[in-house]
Amino acid sequence: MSLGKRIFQILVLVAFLFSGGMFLWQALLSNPHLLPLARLNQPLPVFSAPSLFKPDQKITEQAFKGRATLLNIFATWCMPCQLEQPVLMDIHQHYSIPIMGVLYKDQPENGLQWLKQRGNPYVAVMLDPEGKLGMDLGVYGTPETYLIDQNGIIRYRHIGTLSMDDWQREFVPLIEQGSHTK
Amino acid sequence: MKKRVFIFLPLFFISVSYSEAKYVFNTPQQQQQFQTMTQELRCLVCQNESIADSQAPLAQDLKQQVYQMIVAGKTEAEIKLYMQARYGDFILFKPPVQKNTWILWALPFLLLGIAAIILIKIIFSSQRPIDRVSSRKF
Repeated sequence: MSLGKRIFQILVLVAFLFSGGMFLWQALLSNPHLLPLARLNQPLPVFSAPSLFKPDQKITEQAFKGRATLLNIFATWCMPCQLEQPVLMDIHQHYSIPIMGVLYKDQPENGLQWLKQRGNPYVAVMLDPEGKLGMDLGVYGTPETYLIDQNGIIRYRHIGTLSMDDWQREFVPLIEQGSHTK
Repeated sequence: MKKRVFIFLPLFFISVSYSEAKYVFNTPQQQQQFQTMTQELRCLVCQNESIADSQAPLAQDLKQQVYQMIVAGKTEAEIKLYMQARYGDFILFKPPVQKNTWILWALPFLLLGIAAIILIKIIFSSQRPIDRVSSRKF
């Protein structure tokens, strides 16, 4: 066998092992529980949900037009949501972005009691007792926090408890970027 | 002693019959469609289970949604599209052939083709000396 052919064979083998190794490495590093958002860069789905604070009023996707908004999916039965609540209070106190809540698969009275005890970071809370709105958004693990831009387009989603670090690292640059392009 | 074990056998079917009892269908075809579809949709919470097998609340909700859509006369494609629009391709156990998945589908055939080429090469290269010997004899 000629030397050239031998070198070619070795190169093919190395390329094969390298691509296999990269594939394996990437698979090991990625967290399978963080799923990509199907609705990323798409408008919010059309919905109409009753308001927790004004039960006779409905909130629709139109309420998200005009300025960037945070959309937070929470429930009083959700332990990570309890950990997240002080962080939302912090954001509410130190940043001007409005936070909308979705009370996911929970009773209104539980929600009201929770906000009374722990403080209310939300400008409005939508009720989703059967999780239909959650399903339309693609919610699969509470809490989830979405960034909606001023045109009502979903720009980002954070899954699980939001920490102040996550907020600074993931959300703040996106919001600043969005306000420049307005 | 062994027979006594079988007394407990019906216990294994209780949960199954209970969970299926919620869903009443108009036709056996709808029931069939429901069973196949819930097997093909992935539970996003316990990711190696289908929504048919999973007891996670979200899986129950998705099952309920599939049920409602089937009874409303939606086709399999429509239901899959509904789920994909919300939860992405990940919800389908069988990923569609598209730009980012074609290699997944093509790779086994590609490797089979390469293996076949190597095999043919080996067979032909080892036959040549035998041919030479036999041609000398006759």
